[in-house]
Amino acid sequence: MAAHPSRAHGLATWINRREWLVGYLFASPWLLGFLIFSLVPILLSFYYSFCKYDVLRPPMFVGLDNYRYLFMESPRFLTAIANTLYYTAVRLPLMMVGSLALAMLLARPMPGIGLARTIYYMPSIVSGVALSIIWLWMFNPQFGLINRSLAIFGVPGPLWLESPNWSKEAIILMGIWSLGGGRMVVLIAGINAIPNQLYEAARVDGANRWQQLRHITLPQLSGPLFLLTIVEVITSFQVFTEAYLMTRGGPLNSSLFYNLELYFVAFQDYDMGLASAMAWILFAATMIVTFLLFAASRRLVYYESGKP
Amino acid sequence: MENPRTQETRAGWWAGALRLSHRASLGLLVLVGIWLLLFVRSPRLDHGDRTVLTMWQVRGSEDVDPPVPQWFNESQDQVHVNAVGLPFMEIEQKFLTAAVGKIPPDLFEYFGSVAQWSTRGALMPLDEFMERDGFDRDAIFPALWEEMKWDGRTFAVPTGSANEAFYWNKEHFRAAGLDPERPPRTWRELEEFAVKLTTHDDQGNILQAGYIPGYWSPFPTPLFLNWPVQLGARFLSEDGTRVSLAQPAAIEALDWEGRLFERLGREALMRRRSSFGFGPQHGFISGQLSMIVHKSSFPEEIEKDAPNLDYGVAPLPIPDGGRQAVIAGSVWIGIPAGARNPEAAWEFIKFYASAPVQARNARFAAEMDLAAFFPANIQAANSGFQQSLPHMDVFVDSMAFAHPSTVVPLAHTQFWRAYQTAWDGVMRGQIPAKEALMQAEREVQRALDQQLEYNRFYADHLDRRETARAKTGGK
Repeated sequence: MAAHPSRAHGLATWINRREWLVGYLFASPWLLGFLIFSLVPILLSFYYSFCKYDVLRPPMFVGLDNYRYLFMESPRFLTAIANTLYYTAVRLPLMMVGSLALAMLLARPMPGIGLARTIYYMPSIVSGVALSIIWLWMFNPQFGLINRSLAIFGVPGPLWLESPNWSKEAIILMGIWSLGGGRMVVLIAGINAIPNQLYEAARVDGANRWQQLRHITLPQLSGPLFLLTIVEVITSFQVFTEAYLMTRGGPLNSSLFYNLELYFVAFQDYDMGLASAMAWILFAATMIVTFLLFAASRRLVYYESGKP
Repeated sequence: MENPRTQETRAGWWAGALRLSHRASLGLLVLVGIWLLLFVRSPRLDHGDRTVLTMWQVRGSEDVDPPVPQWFNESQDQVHVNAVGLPFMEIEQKFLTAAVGKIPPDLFEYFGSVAQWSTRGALMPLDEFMERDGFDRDAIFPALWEEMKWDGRTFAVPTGSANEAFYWNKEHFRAAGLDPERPPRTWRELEEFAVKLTTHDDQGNILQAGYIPGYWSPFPTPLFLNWPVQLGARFLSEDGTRVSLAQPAAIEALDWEGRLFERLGREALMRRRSSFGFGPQHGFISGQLSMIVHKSSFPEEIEKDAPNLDYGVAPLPIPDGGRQAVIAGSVWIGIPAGARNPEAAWEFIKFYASAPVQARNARFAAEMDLAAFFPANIQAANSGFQQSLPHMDVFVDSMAFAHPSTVVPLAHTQFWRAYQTAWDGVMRGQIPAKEALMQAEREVQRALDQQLEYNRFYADHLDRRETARAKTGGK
């Protein structure tokens, strides 16, 4: 007995609606949490970015003054932006080349490969605080492991974190060491997913190693590489812990990164209006850069399905 | 026969949904209830009919319970004070959150700037209590009171003092042919001695540093206000609206420090400095630095990590034409605005600030090796508590010429950050002292201007609220 079409439809919506409601009920703790503790503060922070606000007293509306101050007057804001862009620009290529090289090295099956991969991956699961304390000693200009090693070859090591010219490089070095392993794992998975026939066919046609890398490995890896590029840019924009623990932004504001300055403004000066403005500028910048990367990816990333 | 059944199922659906949402909301209510019970009100132990007060203070995980609340609880049967220790990294934000949520603790003990809280209405003025009970302000070091005040009112009572002095390594003095009992008395002598005491290896590395301007701890926060204050620098105008960092006294002091840094070998000195660490690796404690300006808590650190170090403590060297001066800080206690039992809390503050309790507390702290601060009460500070701690008399005596460490109450953090940037730039020879201080001055002045405007706005806001309340109250 065939069900009446409209009745079947009614039943379907009934089940649908019930499921819909139950689904939302089950998700409600998260939903409520998101609405109350994330969405509302996010929207409020947008309003506060046009205010002078120190949390203890009600916000005072100042219009665009916070934004004007940041771009026109603040002695630190532009420095913080420049430092962060430098950090990102230097770290991104080094990290990509480094983790790709590492991944290609460790993608082959060899005895003890699991151990090797584990060792390289391990720094990414150690807390940033512990790493910073260890690297503080590594970078010690007089007794640190790095300068001691350089001294063996007669190279006088720099002051590292004590020098305005080297503090950013030191933090980049540490970042690559600590996060490269994690990036490597993603790329190993990507490399192992490349069909072997492609290499076989290339070898039959006489392609050398470099040509295989250039025309098979890289295009086939463009997806993971693109993902890592976005992750890299976003994490670089947010660099904080190392600078906070090792240099406090010094010397001479040379390692004053955007988030560190934001932290100082928010939690030392309690100038939440200014800090909110900074947070929204960072958000906008991250959105724009991600959008540009996605736009560029259409030309540079290969998808087997033919579309992203 | 279709419609009624659909209706029926619809009704059933609604009933089911209602039952379900009813149950869910009940469950949610219970959860929220438990959560509230657990977190919003800390569980109170039974103290009979006593009024129970909560005091927040900074305490590390290894610190012992503070004895004063216990003595207070034993001294009477009306009030019970519960001291809650919070980590230094968290206490400010916790207090801020509690103050905004209108559930502040009954008492707040902290070091650092009172102005941070008093200027923003987070603390209660105590003047009425003081007047009523004839509280003896003169019993406490006068230098400490200035920081407790804002806008003519007093917001906290100092319970401990700290300041700075000059330390020198007597063994190094002997080795360099200097009189080990005679520290440098002037800036000129400090410079002279520093050069004599500095030794190098054949590659130009500094082995023993005579003196490193600004260095006192591995944290990059130099002690830098003593020198300009010795030359008579005042950083804020009488009416509190104009900042003056780029004034002759401050320029001269910063310039002198910068030149001294250069003379002692800038790069080598920085290299040496960065090799010093915490505890036993501290430059002075490890015997690799001959002279240092450090805080009054330093003798205890030395006692712990290098009990055999042969050193002396004296007031700071002074500049030609300058006077003796030192920066002093304090630990203080206040009653947060909106606290429910200010009367009882005030009783505790009076007890805490009294000479016998201050002296007893100092003895206790000295025995337990906890003496980060010495008494704020003058009589207690001179009561001989320091017998187990050598040199404390230098610090107690220095309170006679002490100055507050908060120089721009409304822009305290901005001042320190700007001044430190200026200081660091001069020490590295990147910028002349005057220019550096002018940049810092602009930055601090801007922060101060904004705070003043915000203060006016807040005063108006309070007025409006007051008027509104008067109107509704009149009805």
